[in-house]
Amino acid sequence: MDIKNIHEQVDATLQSIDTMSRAEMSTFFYTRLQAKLDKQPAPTRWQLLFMSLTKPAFAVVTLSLFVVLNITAITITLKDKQQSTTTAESSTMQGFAQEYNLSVSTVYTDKTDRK
Amino acid sequence: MLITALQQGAQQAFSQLVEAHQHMVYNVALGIIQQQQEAEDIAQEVFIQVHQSIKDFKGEAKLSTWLYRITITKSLDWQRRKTRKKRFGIMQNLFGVNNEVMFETPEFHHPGVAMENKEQAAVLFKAINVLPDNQKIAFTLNKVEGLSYQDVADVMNVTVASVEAYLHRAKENLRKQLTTYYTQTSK
Repeated sequence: MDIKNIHEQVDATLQSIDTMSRAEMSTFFYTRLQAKLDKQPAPTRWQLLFMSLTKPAFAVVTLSLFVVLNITAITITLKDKQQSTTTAESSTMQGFAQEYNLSVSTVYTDKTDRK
Repeated sequence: MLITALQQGAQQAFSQLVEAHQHMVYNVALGIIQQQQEAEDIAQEVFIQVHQSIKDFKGEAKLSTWLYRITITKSLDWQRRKTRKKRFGIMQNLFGVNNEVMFETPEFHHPGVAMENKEQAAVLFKAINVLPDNQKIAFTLNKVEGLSYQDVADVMNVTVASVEAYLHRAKENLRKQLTTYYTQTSK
């Protein structure tokens, strides 16, 4: 077969479905479909719960709540850390001063010593 | 009105829906998977899914567009499952588990093709079967189902320009395949 013939064959093949009509479903399809639907069990409570949990609106709300709770927890944790750092610093300094007898002398201490 | 009735679970409405769209759903599934019994099974799955999820249908697209999309998704899923089984079958052959040639694609004769074009159409459908998914869908919807470029774009959720591109590439690929086929068969 020469090249011209091959091209003609290819064109004819590409055009072979141009006048094609739509395929039709076999008869009693609806009856078989209805029978299949009737056999399907009704969804259980757990399935219904799962279906509502996977709805986009519910997922967005849950995720937002999760993010807000996390931000709140992180904020509280950071505040607590700052406070405990300040307290820890002052108690460390007092301990250091006591160990090396570096306590600050007051007027009352002076007066007592002189007596 | 039909959608409202469907969402309320009216049996009559569902029956009307099936009657109005069963041939369309079947024709699209058949064009993609090229097996009649399986195409009918897919059509059943499509309407079962519609029956179960019609309450979630928001009406952003036409009902027919929604049906086309479900049909295409289920047809492509079926094809992927079949390809996986085929690969497994090839592995079995390699390891000598099964000596039969498994999963040979039978020649497909679309029932809507005229008698004088049947053989050529069978060759064409074999070539369509190996197109990339987007090209296969666009070609099937346009040529097999007869949808306009705009309708194909609505179903595929792309622009008309994209549909034109898919169809152009599909025709190029088909032409290449067919040329190779006829060159080899002429030797």
